Amino acid sequence: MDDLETRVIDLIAEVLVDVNKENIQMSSKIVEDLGAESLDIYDMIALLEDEFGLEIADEDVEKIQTVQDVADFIKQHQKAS
Amino acid sequence: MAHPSSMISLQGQTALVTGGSRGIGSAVCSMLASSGAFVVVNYRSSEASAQDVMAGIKDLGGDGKIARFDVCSGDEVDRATAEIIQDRGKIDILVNNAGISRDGLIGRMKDQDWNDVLSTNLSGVFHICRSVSKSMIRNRKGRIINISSTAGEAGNPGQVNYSAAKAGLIGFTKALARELAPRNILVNSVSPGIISGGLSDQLTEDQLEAIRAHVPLRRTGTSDDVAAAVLFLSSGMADYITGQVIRVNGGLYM
Repeated sequence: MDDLETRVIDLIAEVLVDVNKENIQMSSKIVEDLGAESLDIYDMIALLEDEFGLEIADEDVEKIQTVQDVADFIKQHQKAS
Repeated sequence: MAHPSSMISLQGQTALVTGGSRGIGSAVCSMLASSGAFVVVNYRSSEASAQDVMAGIKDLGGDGKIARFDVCSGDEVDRATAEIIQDRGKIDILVNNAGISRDGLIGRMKDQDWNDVLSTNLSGVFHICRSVSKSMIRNRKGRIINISSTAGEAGNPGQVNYSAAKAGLIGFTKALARELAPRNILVNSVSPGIISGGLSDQLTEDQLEAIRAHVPLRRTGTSDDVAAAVLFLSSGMADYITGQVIRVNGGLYM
């Protein structure tokens, strides 16, 4: 796991306080496996936007399913900027 | 159980009160500051009054600052709240008090009278809550208190705009209370009746007398009567209260 992936997992763990960090895998599905609710997703997006200085559009949010998807999205959009 | 005086303390908390320069708003600012909160007094046009409120707060040993912005503008609101959060780290208590009235019988009510009242009294609350809720969600803690009105619950002739906005605010309060409850953000409304020194000062003495005759407690309310309910809802004494409308109306509407 690279630094960015570790940071993403840390941030997700910060939002999903009921989830044990050891149980968050890159392949974990955020809603199905980790039990995130709509408010958690909103909170997570806001935090990721602040942390990585990017904007995540609603269409992109819908495409993100796994922790890996989050990391990939950030990698792509950080390169672009 | 903690002693009630410690439960009512707002030490270390930051409060934002819209329309804080006059009437109920200024009483709320003083009450929250007296209980230890750092109070941001928002105003739109009356800077001198806002400075008076702040001077009063400092005289009582309280702390805070004034902030000019128009709740009708989402951009102005976003900038102002970002500045407060940068400065204070968070907003713990938001009191949506800014409100105007533009009374008239419906046949003679201009579009602008309708739009101005809806824009300030309802859209303004939407703008601020959208902006402030983000930080409250992060903090997993917050209190939002929306000042409604008996007019929004019972209706008032000559005030279809004001009554609609204030009724809308109650629906808004309940929806937001459900939405934010999982993050320990409590959203309530305080609904004042006839309060002296506020918007009801536009009424004549005869009208006021006729109104008093309908108030079971036989008097108009004071701004402090309303501010006390706001303080209660802001405090640790109201940890299990959300989505409610607390009426401060002397029994005028039950």
